[in-house]
Amino acid sequence: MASLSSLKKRALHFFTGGKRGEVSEIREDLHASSSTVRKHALRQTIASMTVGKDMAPLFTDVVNCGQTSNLQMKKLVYLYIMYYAKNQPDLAILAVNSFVKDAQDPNPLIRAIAIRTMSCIRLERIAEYLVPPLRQALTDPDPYVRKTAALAVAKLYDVNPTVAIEGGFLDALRNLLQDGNAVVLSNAIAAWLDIRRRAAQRDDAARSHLSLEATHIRRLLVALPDCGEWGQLTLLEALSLYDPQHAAEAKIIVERLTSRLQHANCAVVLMTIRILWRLLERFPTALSESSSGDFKTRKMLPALVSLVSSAQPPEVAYVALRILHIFMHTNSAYLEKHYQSFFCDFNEPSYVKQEKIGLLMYVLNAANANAILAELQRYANDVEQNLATRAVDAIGFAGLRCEAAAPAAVEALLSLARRGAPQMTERVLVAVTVLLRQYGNRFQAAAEKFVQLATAPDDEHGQVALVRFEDERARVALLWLVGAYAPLIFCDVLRGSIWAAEQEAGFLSETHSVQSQILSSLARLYGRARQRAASKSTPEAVSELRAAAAALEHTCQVAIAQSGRPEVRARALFYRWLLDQEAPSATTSSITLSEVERLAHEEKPPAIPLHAVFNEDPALLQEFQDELGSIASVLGLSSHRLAWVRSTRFETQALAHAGSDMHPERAGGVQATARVPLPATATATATATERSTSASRSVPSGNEVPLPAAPDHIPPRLLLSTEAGHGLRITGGLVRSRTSSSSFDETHGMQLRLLLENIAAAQGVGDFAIQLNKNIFGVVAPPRFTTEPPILQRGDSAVVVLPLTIQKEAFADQRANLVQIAIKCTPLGVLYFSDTIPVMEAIHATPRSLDRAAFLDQWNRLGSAAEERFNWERAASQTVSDVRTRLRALTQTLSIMAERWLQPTDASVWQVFWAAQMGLSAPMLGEMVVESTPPRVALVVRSQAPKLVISRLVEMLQHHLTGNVALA
Amino acid sequence: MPVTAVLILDSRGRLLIARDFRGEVDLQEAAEAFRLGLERNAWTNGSGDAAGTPPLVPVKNGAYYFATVKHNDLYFIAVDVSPYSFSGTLVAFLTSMIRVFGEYFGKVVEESIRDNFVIVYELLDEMADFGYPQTTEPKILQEYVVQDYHVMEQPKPPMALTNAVSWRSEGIHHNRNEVFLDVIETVNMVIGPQGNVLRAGIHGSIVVKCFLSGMPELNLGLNESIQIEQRGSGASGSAGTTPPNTGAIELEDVKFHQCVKLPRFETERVISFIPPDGEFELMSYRVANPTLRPLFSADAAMDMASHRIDYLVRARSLFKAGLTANDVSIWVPVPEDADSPKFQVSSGRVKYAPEKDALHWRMKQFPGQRENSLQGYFRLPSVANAASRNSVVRRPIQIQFEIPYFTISGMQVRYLKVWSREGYTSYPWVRYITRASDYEIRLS
Repeated sequence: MASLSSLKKRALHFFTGGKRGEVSEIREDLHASSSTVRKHALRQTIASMTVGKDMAPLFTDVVNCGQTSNLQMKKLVYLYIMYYAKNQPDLAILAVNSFVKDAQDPNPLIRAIAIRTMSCIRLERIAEYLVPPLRQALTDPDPYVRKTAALAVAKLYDVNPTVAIEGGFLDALRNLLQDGNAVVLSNAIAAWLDIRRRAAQRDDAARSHLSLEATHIRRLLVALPDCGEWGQLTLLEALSLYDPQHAAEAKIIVERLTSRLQHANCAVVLMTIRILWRLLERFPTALSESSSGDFKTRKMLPALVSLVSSAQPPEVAYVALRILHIFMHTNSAYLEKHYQSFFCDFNEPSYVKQEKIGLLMYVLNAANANAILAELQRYANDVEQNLATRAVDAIGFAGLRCEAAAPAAVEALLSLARRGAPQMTERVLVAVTVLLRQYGNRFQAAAEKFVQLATAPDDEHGQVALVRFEDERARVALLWLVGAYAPLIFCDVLRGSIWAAEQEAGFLSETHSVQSQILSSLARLYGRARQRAASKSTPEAVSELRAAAAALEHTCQVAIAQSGRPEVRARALFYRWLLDQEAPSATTSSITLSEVERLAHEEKPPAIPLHAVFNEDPALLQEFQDELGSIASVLGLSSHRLAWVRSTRFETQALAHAGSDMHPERAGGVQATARVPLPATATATATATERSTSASRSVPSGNEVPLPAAPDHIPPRLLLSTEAGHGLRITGGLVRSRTSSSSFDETHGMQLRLLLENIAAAQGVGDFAIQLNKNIFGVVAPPRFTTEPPILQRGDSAVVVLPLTIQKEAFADQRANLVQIAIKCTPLGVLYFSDTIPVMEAIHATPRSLDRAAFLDQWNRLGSAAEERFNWERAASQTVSDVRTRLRALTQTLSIMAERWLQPTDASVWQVFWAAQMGLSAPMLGEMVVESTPPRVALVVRSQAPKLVISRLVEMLQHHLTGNVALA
Repeated sequence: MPVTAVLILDSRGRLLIARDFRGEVDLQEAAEAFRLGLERNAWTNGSGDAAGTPPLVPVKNGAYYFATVKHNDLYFIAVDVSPYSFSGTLVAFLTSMIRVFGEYFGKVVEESIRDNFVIVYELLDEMADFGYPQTTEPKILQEYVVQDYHVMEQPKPPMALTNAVSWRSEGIHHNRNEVFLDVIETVNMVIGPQGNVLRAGIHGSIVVKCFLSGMPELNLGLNESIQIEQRGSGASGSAGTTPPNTGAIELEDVKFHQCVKLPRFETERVISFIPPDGEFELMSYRVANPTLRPLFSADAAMDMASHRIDYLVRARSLFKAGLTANDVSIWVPVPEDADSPKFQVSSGRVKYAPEKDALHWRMKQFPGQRENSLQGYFRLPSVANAASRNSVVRRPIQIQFEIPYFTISGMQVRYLKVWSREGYTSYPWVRYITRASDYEIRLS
């Protein structure tokens, strides 16, 4: 093996650091005849690339190596191309051929890898080459290739959305949602969600395509157990975005998902909890019937607490703990019982311990207070400083939260102060002051002990401890304690300690909050001395009073003269004024005392991470629950601060129930609009009832023959969610109006009907203007609203009906039946949204100008090239004349050009020619033959109208004429 | 939701290897930002220890988020740009990834990653596509991602990848068809200075080593007294109250490997599964509110003089006399500045472990209802930091042990039925073992 020995030599050379010509040496090897040498050279290339050396010069040489049947080498080459394609776009195109060839390989693994790699190259130009092989791969017989192709669609959309949409890949992906293989299905869903998210970010027109319907959801539920763990996770994510409409549907989902809580993969468990939690919140009554007892505490919380146990990696425990923080607010009872789960283990990483301490102070109640406080006291003695301080804070907070535990908490803090390091004492002082303020004079004895401890002269300096404290909060806390509880003799000590070091500079070097506190503490001392002197005027008491007054006066003078802070000076002035009221009336002391007490009451409990936020903003708690387990929810980041679009839910049908019993608050919101007298066409109350009736009608809407809408009907489509609209929600859409149906005016009765609701926009919204983008229907809206709605205050809503006109300039021959709409209003600015028009609503009979002769002419001109044939069966019971009557009823949709009985004697075969049109797009010409035996309908359509429009028309005809029988 | 990229960093935060799935982030820059963050302790609230960096952090002011799992001093990181990505996926994917690397490289350390760049790339590409996790089943990956190709013909994608049974391939053959079940229970226990149990928890798992041919279907039966969640106990049986029949073991929560048919368990309480080949954890469980007596007790009497500290440590086994604990390790805290140890023990060996500031007393075997003792002293330097000396008693005594043929909860396997199309006879073997995971005895 000559090649092997030369290989060894080269390898030796490579690793001994022969720097010179390293790249050229590898290049030489890449062209070697022995495949072993080439493979080795490729490995070297990859290794050097990974450690950061520039291997780009070898591009062509490496691509050449791709011409091999060796899978390993192919993978190496592909890896290299993916890495460098971005920097070498021109060269990357060279590799295209080999990708395209490999996409035809008999081995499915190679086909899949070719598609995967090619789609990973993020170049717009590659995207074009990707189209044919990808289209093929989407229908590949091997599921491994299909599952790879599904994700490749998402990659394609990411790089080049236009190609993805116009190439029909979104529809192809939709087809994959029907794939029998669960793994393919899950990847298709993943791609679907990915495109949906991306479209939302880009505000892309494709967004409105990307809904999932109830039928899809049912399929997901069935496929769930057949997927691998990661596939399940994807399906669950899709489910988490879906809001079922009825309690019955929610119940099915809950039943199907409950068993997932037992899954070993923690992500599956957490996502299941997210979904179930939301469902239980939304349908509390209906779901509690089905699963006896409290489902949350019986199933969900145990599953979550398991993730905290020591058998899980600490990273998982951390996530679970952060999630428990969110549940703590609503379901603390279970966790209070299982408080032991949150005791720290000795070997845990500190981030887990911190979270556990954070939970312990919330699960503390009267029953477990002693156990938890003892445990917290242990942590407070921990060598790790962060943990210790956190534990001290937790003790203080626990005492604040749970009154029954307060005495024990004070006791615990006292024992910590007795033996703690100075740094710890600072923290303890702050914590205990908060407790003492909260509970007034309940802990007199303990408080005095604290003063003793904290003011005990230091061994070395013989000074009061105050000087030792670095932390500002600790100084303030100590001063407060001194003022409220210290023996009266202390004014001198205090005065001494403030002034001892550097005379006035001592006071003035303090921060302003400490200065203020010195003043109020002295005032408090003075007030106490005064009270005592008033009750028993012993000589001691009098001298104490005199000393206190002197101390206060001196400090006030310095403060007034020299303090840089106005509020300190003001306080000093006030105290001095009180002092100046020499008369020993009670007023002076009571004002001073009440002042101090008021300040004491104003003091807020310390800010506790995460929870304090929730108390102020319940909406945030809701947000974190909806996004349970997301990074933002785990880290406690509010969406206001993030420049990211939250995943929007599938809102298609959920809206239909907005007025029903499930959302009483929302229904109330709609009702409330009745207060506003609206100049618009319909009153808001009418809208509300209309919406709830339309809800029941709109459920099977896919199969119903569209009739022009009733004059007051607002389509229940959500066009702009509250989030996207900065508080303004818009529902509605394009419809054909029944009122104008009698006359074939130019617009064919097309209207844009909108329900504008100000859900959460802060100010009144008004001054509306509207514009439509070019669209397949060629409709335009008047620039201003015809009936200007009033300024919409929060909670108001208004209905707007705009007649649309058709203009040639507004016509664009797109593939999508989509109208993009922009609304401008103050103060929200321009809001963009789009409506997918039910094609059926837009198809209309052709204008009179198309007479028989013109029809025949066009029919022949189009010829069989633009022809599509359809055949369908119908029920034998249906006679030919039945079909005839039904067809003739569709006067609005079809113009009948000619009809005749081919067998005039027994009325068994009927032939009809008709025409229809949508907007300004090409007319559709049809020939239909209806036979009685066999009971069949044959349909020929000739048209250059978009395929989408034709197929919808045919679907509608079939449904309307023969009932719901599948196409033959 | 997708993982934007995966990074593997060394112990100091330097980039070893990165795989970009979505081209949304400059990975060099991201890795560097994280390294700097570690250096400055940006995520530990200023405590001096980067080991305290939580597993989920925003990097570069939230330009992206890192989910980190630390393993053998390496940082395995999943990068995500969206704050609305699901953190569970990131963490679970990383742990699965480390497990796969472990199966391939043995030990997942810096060297094994460095020596296997190519295979790491290949595995990452199979484990996730466009950031969506695909498969992390090591046995299946090993069928078509292999290190040496020359022996094999070109691999095809294993059927299992797209089957409903994504963890087992067809056509597995073993000459002896055997299944080994290990019922392993780990005990956490914290015992107070007075010998009272402050806290106890049992975490159990059943690990299966499966060497069966074909596509066998297995049914596992556990002892009847096991209650998985309180069924039918109605309103009175709220969590926490033990049922009156004291023999019953009440499981708080059970988690199953993905091969177990969860809906069937949900409705019929049957644990039924088609196992992966080889070793896997079939299920894990948590015992609700166990009331346990200690298995070991220990106390350490320390007598601190100015120049030396004397120790008298006694350890007692409290379980049944017929049983024996193996590999018993007892760690006794020692002052930081102690030196010159002198010790004698009634059984086993004792070693001073200065890196842990502890005495390590090991015994190969420790039969039930026995007592062993350790006696000796350390020298202490005369100049001492009183605080650090006092901190000795704040640390607990820790004990590690294994007791075979014993489950502390009473969990037992009643039967394991194997059904296979081939109709072979199989031999199930069951072992029981109880281990200490965190067994502490506090001294003060």
